[in-house]
Amino acid sequence: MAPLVAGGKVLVGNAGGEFGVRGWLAALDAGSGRLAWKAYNTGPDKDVLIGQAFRPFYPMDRGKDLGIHSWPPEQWKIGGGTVWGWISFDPASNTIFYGTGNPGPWNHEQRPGDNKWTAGVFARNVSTGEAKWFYQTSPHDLYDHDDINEQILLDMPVAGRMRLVLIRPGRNGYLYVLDRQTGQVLSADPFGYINSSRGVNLRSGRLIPVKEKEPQAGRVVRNICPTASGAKDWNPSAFSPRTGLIYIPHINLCMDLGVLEANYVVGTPYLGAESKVYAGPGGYRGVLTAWDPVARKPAWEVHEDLPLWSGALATAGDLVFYGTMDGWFKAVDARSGKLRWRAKVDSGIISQPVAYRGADGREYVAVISGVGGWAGALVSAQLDPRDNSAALGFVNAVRDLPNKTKSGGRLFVFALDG
Amino acid sequence: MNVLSGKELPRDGEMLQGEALHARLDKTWRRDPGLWGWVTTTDHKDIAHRYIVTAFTFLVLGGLLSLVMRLQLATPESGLISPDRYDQIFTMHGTTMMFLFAVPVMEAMAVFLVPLMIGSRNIAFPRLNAFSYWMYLAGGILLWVAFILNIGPDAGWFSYPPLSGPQFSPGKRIDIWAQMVTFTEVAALAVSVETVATILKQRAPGMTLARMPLFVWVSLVVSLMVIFSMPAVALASSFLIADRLVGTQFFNPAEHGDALLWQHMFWFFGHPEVYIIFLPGVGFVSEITATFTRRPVFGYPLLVLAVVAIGLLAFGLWVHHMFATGLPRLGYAFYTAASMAVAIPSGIQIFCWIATIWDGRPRWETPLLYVVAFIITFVIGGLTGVMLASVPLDLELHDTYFVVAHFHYVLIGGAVFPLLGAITYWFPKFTGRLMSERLGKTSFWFVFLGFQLTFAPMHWAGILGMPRRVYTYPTGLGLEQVNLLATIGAFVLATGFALFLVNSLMSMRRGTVAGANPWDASGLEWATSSPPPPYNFPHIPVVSSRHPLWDHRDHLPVMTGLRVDDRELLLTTVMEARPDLREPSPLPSSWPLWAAITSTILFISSIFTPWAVLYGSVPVAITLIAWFWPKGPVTPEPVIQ
Amino acid sequence: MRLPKGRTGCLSHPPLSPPCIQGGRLACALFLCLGLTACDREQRSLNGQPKAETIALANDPRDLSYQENSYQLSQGQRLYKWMNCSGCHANGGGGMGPPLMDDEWRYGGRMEDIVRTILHGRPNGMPRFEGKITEQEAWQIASYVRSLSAQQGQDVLSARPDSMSASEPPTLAERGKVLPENNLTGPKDEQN
Repeated sequence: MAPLVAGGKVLVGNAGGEFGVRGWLAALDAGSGRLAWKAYNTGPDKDVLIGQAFRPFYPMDRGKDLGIHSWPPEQWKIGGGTVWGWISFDPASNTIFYGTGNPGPWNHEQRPGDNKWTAGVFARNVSTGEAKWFYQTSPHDLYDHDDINEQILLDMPVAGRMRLVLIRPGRNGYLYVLDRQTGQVLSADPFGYINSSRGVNLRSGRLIPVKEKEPQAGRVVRNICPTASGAKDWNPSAFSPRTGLIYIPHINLCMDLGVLEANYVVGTPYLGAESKVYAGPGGYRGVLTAWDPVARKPAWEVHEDLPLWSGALATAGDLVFYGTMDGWFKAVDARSGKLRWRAKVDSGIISQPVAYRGADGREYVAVISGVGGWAGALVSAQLDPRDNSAALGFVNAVRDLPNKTKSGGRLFVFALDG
Repeated sequence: MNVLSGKELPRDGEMLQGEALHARLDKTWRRDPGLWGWVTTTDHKDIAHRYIVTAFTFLVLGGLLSLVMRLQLATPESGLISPDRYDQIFTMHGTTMMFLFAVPVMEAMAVFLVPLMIGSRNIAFPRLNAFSYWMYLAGGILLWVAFILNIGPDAGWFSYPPLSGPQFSPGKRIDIWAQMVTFTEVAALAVSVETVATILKQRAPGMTLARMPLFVWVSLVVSLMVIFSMPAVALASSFLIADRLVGTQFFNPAEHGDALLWQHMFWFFGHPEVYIIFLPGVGFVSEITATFTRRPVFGYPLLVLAVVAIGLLAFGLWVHHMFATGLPRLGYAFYTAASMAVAIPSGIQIFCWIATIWDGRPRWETPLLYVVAFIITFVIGGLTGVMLASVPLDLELHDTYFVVAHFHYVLIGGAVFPLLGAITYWFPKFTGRLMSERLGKTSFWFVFLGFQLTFAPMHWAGILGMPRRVYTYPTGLGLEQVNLLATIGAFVLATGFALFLVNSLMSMRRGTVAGANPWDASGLEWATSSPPPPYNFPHIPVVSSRHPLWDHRDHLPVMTGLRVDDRELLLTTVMEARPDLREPSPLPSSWPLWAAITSTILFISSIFTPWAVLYGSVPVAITLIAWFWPKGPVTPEPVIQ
Repeated sequence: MRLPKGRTGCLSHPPLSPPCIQGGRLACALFLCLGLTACDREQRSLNGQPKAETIALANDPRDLSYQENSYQLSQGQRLYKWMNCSGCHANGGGGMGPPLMDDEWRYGGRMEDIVRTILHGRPNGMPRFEGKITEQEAWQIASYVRSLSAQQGQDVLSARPDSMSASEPPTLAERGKVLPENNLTGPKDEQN
């Protein structure tokens, strides 16, 4: 992950949720580089920096040493819960917000329990690392739904009252609006197609799973939506204060999942799962959704054939920039979604565009091309599409990708008046 | 008006009798001379001989394998054969005995006896009969050549997946087993169809269903059972080959296949199979008992009903082989009840035979000794069967030597003892000579006592917890003595079989020449010479009771009017056996052999590539078309003026 | 050097010479034929004592006893899942690790190259399995790895594992694909 500097600390976490690691977030003193604090995401409360100040909103998150007791014995030591995504900082309350990754292994039968504190959001005091609250989006995660996605901190009206909220489009397909002071879920609405859960119970805060879609060892469960890569993976959305909309680049995929017993062997993947991924209902694989958080519904959607694996960028000129995996860099109207401009680059785009004013006073938009990652490994790592479980099944979803792009890696900078 | 002489007369009748009739019929029905005639023959007796000799060859081979196993198990922790070889050996033993010996030999007896018992000139569909033998032979050779090449199957005679599936048994061992099953299924189905058609349509005039000999009844029931049960296993083995060759998912639970599906399909065949093997024994025993006690068998209608009841019940209790897989309570209760219900018709049969012996004037000759041995052994096996039908005991004894002891008591006791009696009894019909009574009795005692010595100790071994299909056992578990006893018994038993074979080989050349009816038996098969001529009967007999030869000792009524210059059969009505039609019977042909060769190529190649099914079907189609090609009108009948 | 392909896979035995009895010539000839072609391709070696194999030099003759043996292959298939090989290499198509079912081998595609890769590991993530599995097991896994690209004869291969179906059955794949020469010369970057 890219480190974040906030409140005089350099924040950095670990990755490797598929390898049986134990997730943590560390804060280094920005001046000296010394370790200020380190918060684990599994294990005893003192490791997780849970103390007197910890006030989770829901009863399911209250109790002593849940990071041990919500796991089978010793399993928390290799239970994942990594921090490889985005951290948001609220200077007013001196709080950071970040999500934790999936529990390991993927085969959920090997880890009965809620698997605290994986697949959820922490609010921490940035100076001490002390946890303020926690909300678990996927207790006992079934589908590798890391919860590391971005959080957008807004002050907006909810049910007629101004609230300090934290908005996060989750991997499990729900757009959560949380009270960022307490961790209460104010609303959770699906922004993509979901059939593996029936919604979020706002009273208990728990996801309501669909029994038939629960993976079973030794048996393939078909047509689970969203996939392990989620309704939206790591690629961050954008908020425009001008339109009041959140622009969510996400994917529309479903999967077959088969789980089997995973053995923990140091240095090897700790998964116990095989999957096959394919396009969801409608046949398109990528979506750019403009979400109206106040009205709790999409304003407009743009469908993309290939999975949308780049970040979105909203500008003051009411444009939304994003890139596609076949190498188109696009700008759409922020209010209508109409395509305003596009340019072809040498390889697929899976990065986040940025806009800036150059030293010469001109405005530029920059993006890095170069397809890869989970979605693009077929091209970048030359995987073999004859195996439709390759790259944990993602290869199956993008087997047309080699015909549409090639691997690359260049920075493209476009001048706005050029 | 012309008077036709004996040479031109087209039909048998008063004017065509004795030597002249024999010469004409012999010319029409005799097979061609030499090897060509041997290959192309459609005479049911020739093919049955072949079947029986081949089946006994497989019995010897399978028996030798069991001796090797007993040698390995004679002492604990023995290293005589490797576990890999042992797996192949017990699989080969079971497979050979069930698929290559027991079913074929029982069907061969039917092929030989049924047309004679019902007074017909040949079996129905005689070319299919020839074809079935070649298929059976090819399947047996496939299996044994593979075994000699060290690629014999090694997953047990029932080859449960996942062990037999592509993950745990890659290679060709299991494919060879599965395709051998296909071969023998084709052969068995063909014979069954012939037998049913023969019994229902070719009975001698007057032989109503209620007058059929018991063995014919049994053959009818068994053939119908084969027709209903065997397709299940042929389908299952094809599924297995598809799983193993082209990666289908029939038996893969991960992809929503079902490993238990195999067990259901296999035992839906496998359990009736046990009765398919046992019921002919019922037929043999009934015939032998009647002849050697010199009275009609007691309770004929009861025996017939019992046979039919067993045939029906056999299809309702296959799940008792699967008690250890976990079933719903109702399933346990139902299949336990069904399994125990079989004891009722079996018990009725036993009492009928005891009553027959009790009431008759028994002549204690070898065949009747085998009957007594059968009753003793089968009752013991039946009682352990009732024990195993109860779920708690079954869960305790499942896959132990107790089960091994049980099914050998039922199968050897219920089928092999009657078979040995039957061979002795009908030996004069096969060869024209009697078997030596002295050697026969000696071999009987070796077989009977050897059998008990071999398998009785296995009950104890099983109760002590000795598992089946494991190549050795540790010292100090108290298994040494029972195993040593069993091994000694196995060699005694083998000596008995060897004496039986020596007896039959010697008697074939030097035995007392038997007349047409050496035992003074009552059935139609004894109404013709020993061995019967190619046309079986000079005139088709007419039947008016269940015991035609006892009712008409001197002069069996006959009917005349069948052609002598062409192969012609008399068809009668199904229920009352009233004369119905005259039907031509096919001439010898080499096409069944060619069809069998092309089918063999197809079946064996399909182990290696799925395309064989497509390309291999072309030569099969060609041979079948040639086989069925219309031959034009039969020789026109000379007009009698 | 070319790889010994061993298409037939059957190990030849020296011709046996049983005393031929007069009249039994045909039987003798048949017996001789069978003896000549006897086949250990499916032999399950369950002797109880693991064979301690040392990493072989080029073209070790023991290659055949592993890669042309279906039992070793099926053991390799199980170990491939048990040791989490499939986590990175999937069912041959790759993922975090390179694909194994294609004809490119970074560190050589011979049995002994693959065994060395498994036991000693390779840069960029291939862990070292020495000490976690026996050398015999490494040979078994290597045999299965080669089967993913259908290098062995079809009559040795497994059509599928008893788990999710992911790829075309190797039993139907084009087989006997001789590896490109440059891949047979052994690891390219031994110094890494």
